[in-house]
Amino acid sequence: MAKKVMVVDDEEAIRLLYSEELEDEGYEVSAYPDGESALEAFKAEKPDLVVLDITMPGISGLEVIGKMKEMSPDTPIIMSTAYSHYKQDFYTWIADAYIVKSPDLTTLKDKIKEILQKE
Amino acid sequence: MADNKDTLEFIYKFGETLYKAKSRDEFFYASIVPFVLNEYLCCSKAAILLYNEDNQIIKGAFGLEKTNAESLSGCSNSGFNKIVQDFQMSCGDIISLGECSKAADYLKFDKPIFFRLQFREKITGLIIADKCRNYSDSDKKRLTLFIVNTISLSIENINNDENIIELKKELFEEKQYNIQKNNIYNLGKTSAMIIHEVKNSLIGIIGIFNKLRRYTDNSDKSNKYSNIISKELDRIYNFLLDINKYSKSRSIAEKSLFNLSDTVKNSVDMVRNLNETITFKINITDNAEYAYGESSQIEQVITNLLKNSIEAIDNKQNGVIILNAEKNNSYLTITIEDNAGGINEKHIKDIFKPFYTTKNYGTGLGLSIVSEIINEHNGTINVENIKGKGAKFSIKLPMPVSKNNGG
Repeated sequence: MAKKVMVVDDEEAIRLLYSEELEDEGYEVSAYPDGESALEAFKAEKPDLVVLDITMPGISGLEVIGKMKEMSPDTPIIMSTAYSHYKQDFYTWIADAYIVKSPDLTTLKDKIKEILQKE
Repeated sequence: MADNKDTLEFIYKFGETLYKAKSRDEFFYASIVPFVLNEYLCCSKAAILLYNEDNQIIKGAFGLEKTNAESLSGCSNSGFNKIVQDFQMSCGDIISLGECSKAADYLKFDKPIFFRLQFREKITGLIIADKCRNYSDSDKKRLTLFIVNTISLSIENINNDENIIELKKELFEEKQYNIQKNNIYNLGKTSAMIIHEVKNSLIGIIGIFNKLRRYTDNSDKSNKYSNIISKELDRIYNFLLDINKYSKSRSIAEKSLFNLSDTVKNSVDMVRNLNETITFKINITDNAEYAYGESSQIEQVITNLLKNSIEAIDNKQNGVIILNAEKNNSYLTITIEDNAGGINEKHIKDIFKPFYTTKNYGTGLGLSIVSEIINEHNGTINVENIKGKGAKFSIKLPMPVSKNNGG
């Protein structure tokens, strides 16, 4: 059965890009533009992995990761952002991986594969 | 001999002259007058020496008895100034009569009397009077002491005035500097935000565009256009990555062991094409191969210093930049030396100040970033001119002591 990946990013182009590229890799992908809608869907969808942007309008990715980990501590979450300095932020310590956004999705795809294989 | 009325008249005139003196010079000459007037102390000549905060003679003036004008080293007042400034008597020496006598000898005074000018505990100057014929008169003596005290007070006043003006100037400059610093800070914050937004959009655009290319008809034209777009997008994206690296907040950097040779190589590669005629001589000792610090910051330091040397060499022929690195005990020393003739001594103390630049298009931030980074590494940076060659920057960075040499 295909693994379910949830993508949360306020940038439409990024959602489309991630969705299509990850679908090509054989995942089942759902994408949400903000933290509220993602949290709402999280319970019902029970994704196998979440790719989460940090800077978003409304509640930030740092808050979203806290809530998701409360609901389901074992669901791996990859933080993704254009800033590299969030690496230092305390909240991102609870993320399972951290990637700096890039047009080249190889790093992201490798990380997802690595984490899901560990499961 | 003058009567009391004349004396009062004289004191009044003297006070008024001091009060109205338009410059320090005028004030000094006026100070001397009572000593050489026939009606008062009746000295053959008198001189006043003044000291600054650092106990150096800053000013001298002399006066001669009108009727008996003998020449004083045959010079004018400006010449006299030079003479007293060349005479190295420190302020503390004034307490010693012997030292004062030496000064009097130096100035060719025969039978000198000395009056210390002082305010509270602080000695500010000395008056030397020669061959005082009326000093035995106790009234004249007391009058003289009164005059000396008046001069002391006035000098203190002048010094205070000058200090206040200087302080006001410094305050004003500091205020301007802070405003400027704040502006740059805000500009930095705003541009970081803009860079982030643009970069974020670009990531999507480039990703989607790469997908779009799979759906083009693969004709020569569409490939050509796609290549141009792709190349330009990459250029903008890499440009943004570079600025981001540069403006990245330095406080978040992590220190670790890194390969210094690689770092130096990166820096040289980055600047080499700015002037390909320059020869780089790199010498890193084996024990300095590894260093401890934030490698991208150290790379920034080296890059900025190399750029600085390259800009100094400019169009000069046979430009050479020598970089040496070695580790002794717990310090890493990196020196960067060029043969561009050196830094103007006038500017050398200011070159690490932010916004200080002598270049037409400089921001004045290059070397100040260098010194900030070195400070954050608890290191030191110095610059000196090597005679006949150029400028030499020396960086000293503390290194953790490891048992196995070089870590």
